Amino acid sequence: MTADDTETPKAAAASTEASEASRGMKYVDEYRDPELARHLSRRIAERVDPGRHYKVMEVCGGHTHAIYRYGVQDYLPESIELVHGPGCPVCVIPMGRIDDATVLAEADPNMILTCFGDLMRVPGGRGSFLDARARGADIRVVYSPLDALRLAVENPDRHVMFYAIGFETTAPSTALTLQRAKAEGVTNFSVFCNHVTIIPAIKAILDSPDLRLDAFIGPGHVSTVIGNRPYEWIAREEGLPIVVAGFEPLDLLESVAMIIDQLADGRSVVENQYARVVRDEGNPVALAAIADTMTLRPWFEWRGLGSINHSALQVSARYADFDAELRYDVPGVRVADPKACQCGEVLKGVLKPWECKVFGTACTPETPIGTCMVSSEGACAAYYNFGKAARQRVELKVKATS
Amino acid sequence: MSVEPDVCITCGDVAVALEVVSVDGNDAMCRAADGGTERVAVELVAPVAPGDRVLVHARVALEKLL
Repeated sequence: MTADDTETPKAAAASTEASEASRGMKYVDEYRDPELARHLSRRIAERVDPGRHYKVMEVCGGHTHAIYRYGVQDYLPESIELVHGPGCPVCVIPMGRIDDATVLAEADPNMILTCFGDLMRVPGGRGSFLDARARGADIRVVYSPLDALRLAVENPDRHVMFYAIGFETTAPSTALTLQRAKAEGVTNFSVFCNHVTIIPAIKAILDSPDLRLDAFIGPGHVSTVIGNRPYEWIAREEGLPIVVAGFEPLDLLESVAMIIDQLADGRSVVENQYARVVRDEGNPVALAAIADTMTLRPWFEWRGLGSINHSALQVSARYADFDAELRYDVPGVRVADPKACQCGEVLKGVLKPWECKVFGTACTPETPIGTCMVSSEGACAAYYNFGKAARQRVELKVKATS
Repeated sequence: MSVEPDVCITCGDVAVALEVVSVDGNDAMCRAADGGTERVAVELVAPVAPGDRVLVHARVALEKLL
């Protein structure tokens, strides 16, 4: 594939659809084409204002991971700074919520605590789930909440609690599982709900006095569920462009190009770069499933951001029989973050990962102090695994701007 | 289905495009690009038919791909 001045990843995708579909690689190869990356890089460089510094926050941890993994920043001018946001659910879970589940699992030998794999190493005040399992608690990794439900059906003499975590991408799978559990009359299954919602987190970021942003790269898969409309206030009231983006390197470069175009033209609107997946209205069926099974909490504690009103979900009254927080006496543990840990500043985009005092020394993926180093989507882990001490910027010939 | 080992499921960047092979009530057998198959809940994107491509996260289809 060769790039020309008008070709974009979307056009390239269309032109190669037939051949790629036959190889089963549609939506992958065409979004990693180096020539198209250089083309987009030139387009961005030609439109930036030479005297301006741009701060663009990617909200989603998946984007942070992709940016470091593929070296996206190296294709951008020095004046465009990508700021990593709070969109990694593992990173924002407070230590006390880990301890709450640990206490329950250790107190009840009849319980099987189930969770996604990434959660196993998150440090709580009493250690991680891995530590609790070593002490004898029955804690198992599942790939889906549906697997946890199946475990309950297969073990009718045990109680299976699923540690639900994630933004609106993951909440539908928990919702669907609750609906199936109720329909099937399963009585030995519950959900310890820690689902969070993205819009209040963005509001909290914008309210932070520490940070001035120029635009957002919107979360692609969250938007698959909630659609593009919930972001309109960002463009309208805050005057900031937001472009919902996919997760391939060219998705991200094209999104930055769209943002720079908006800023250069003096516009601020919601644009959808990920239209091959995201609809404006999201997925109404998934939203209805969430609304059926969960309700907004009055408030929820976020690591680094503090308490945010109406920013998380709890199991709804209709599904009270499956609510672990009603079934068990949850201790409500509160644990202060380790003093050396600066995850809060990293999550707000105030500090870069390498600016944390313990990054790469006391805090590594093998022995994480902070959650940003635990999850592969945490900014610290992503930079530790893929970042370079000295960035190697891609050299481009750029037309002179008038 | 193979999932790249260094990604985190909770955020959703492991949502992957799969092709529906057969439908069985609220579930469907879906095939990944590497040929692996898995059982996926499809009631959030129903109706689906063999040949449809769906975005799957945590064994639940979230959207049909255009």
